Amino acid sequence: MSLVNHLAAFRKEAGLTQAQLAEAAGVSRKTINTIENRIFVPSTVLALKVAQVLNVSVHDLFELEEDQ
Amino acid sequence: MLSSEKLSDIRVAVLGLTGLICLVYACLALFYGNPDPMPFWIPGLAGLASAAIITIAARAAGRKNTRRAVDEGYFADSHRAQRMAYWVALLLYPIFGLLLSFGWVAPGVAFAAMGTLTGAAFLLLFVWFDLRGRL
Repeated sequence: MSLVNHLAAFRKEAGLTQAQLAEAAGVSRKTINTIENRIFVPSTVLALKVAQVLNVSVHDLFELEEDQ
Repeated sequence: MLSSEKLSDIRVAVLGLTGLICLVYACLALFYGNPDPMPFWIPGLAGLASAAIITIAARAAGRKNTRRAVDEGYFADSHRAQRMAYWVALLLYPIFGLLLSFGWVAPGVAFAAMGTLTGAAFLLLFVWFDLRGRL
């Protein structure tokens, strides 16, 4: 199973840049960028913070996908 | 007040410069067969200067911005660089063991090169991961 995320889509839908989302979540822009590019998997706390900023559920942002 | 992005930029710049100084020191030591290809205190001083500059920059950035610059993404990069640099440092032992056993490198040169390469490995890997994460 692999983790897929829809952070970039929800962020754009909210009209936020990576820098604005990072500021609101209290992390660096690089961290948001690495999450969006699937380089870094955030902690539960950060995932909840980002979801709170975007006013969505963590389940909307992240989901598990069956490997082919 | 310094932004968290500026603080990260300063950190990457000074750590990268220190890593390059260590790498250049090791290369010059091996090339010239001299354990002191430049004054021996330069890599150490670069490390101390980096620590001082980062500390001053962090003070100028304030607590909130410093916390953003030292977030979990930073720790992930740092831990990843440490893990890889550990294996690089271990790999240096058999490599230099062979070089020493064939008499291609003098013990003093091997000591200087291994020490600076160990430092360079962590610093440059950290900088590489940090920069790659921004793109």
